[in-house]
Amino acid sequence: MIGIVLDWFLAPDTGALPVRLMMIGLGVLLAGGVARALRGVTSRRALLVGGTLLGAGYWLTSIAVLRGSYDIYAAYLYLLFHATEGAAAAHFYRKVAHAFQQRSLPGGGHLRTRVSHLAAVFSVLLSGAGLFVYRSGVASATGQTVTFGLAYTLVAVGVTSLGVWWRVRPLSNDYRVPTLLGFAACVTGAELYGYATPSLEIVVVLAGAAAHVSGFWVAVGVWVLRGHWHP
Amino acid sequence: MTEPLLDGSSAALLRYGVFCLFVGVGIVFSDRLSRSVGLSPRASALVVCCLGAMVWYGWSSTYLRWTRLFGTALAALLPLAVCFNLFREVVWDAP
Repeated sequence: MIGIVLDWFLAPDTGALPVRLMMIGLGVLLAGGVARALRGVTSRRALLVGGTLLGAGYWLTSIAVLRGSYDIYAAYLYLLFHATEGAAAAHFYRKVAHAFQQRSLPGGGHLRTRVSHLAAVFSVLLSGAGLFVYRSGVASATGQTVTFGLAYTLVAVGVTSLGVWWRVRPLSNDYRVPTLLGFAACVTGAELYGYATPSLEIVVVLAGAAAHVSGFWVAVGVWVLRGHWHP
Repeated sequence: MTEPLLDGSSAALLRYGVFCLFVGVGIVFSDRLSRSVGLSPRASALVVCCLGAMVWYGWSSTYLRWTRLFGTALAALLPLAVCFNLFREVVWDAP
């Protein structure tokens, strides 16, 4: 079953994978948004049937419009997430500065323990990725061979989606997990999306850097104005 | 089965999408009607079907245009809402 899903995901070429990730993520995101809007308004059965149809309807109409311009949508998601990443980076620097000043972490615990935990998680992830790459070349369920290129793409998808998931994790109180998973899939697709021309790719990367810097300085500006510089 | 979905014509996707939306809105509205007004489920379904037919007959072209616009706006606004909440969580609500 996993092999068939993987084959659909990767066939006919890996270039289509980011688009499929974005579209599937958008579907999950829309279904989550519709369920959130209708919860408490209708009965459970109407929510299930009507909500599913509404989610599917929005998804199909969105695809009908976006499929003519995946470039714009991917660039939009990329810039949006990079602006948020900039703010998160500012928050991270603030926490690091505080940890060095106080010689303790804001959430409690020792720096050495946290670093060893992170190192353990990364070593497990890297070993998994290495094992996957080592096993590449094995024929999957429908007989399609998983090549090194596909293995690399899958590892890139896994690492990127883990990074995005890690970033949106604090929102688990505001949104349900499927909505955040949909968002993570959308952003992962946008991060790995291959634009039509190399010049467009360069423009999007530069604009992403500008969005990152803007997000960083907006966050710093807000903290300075509110006088909340220390975490 | 999935190929026509992602690689089919935009007009076909839009047609399926609008159909799903129409039926979905009808089901939710019918449920609301029977709960708030006290109509039986069958009577409220009939009322919604009549209203749906009138709307479809009168404004199908406008409805199609607005659905396209609304579907695209939703696809753009939902990720924006998640990012905005994330930004608020990181910048405003951070300890």
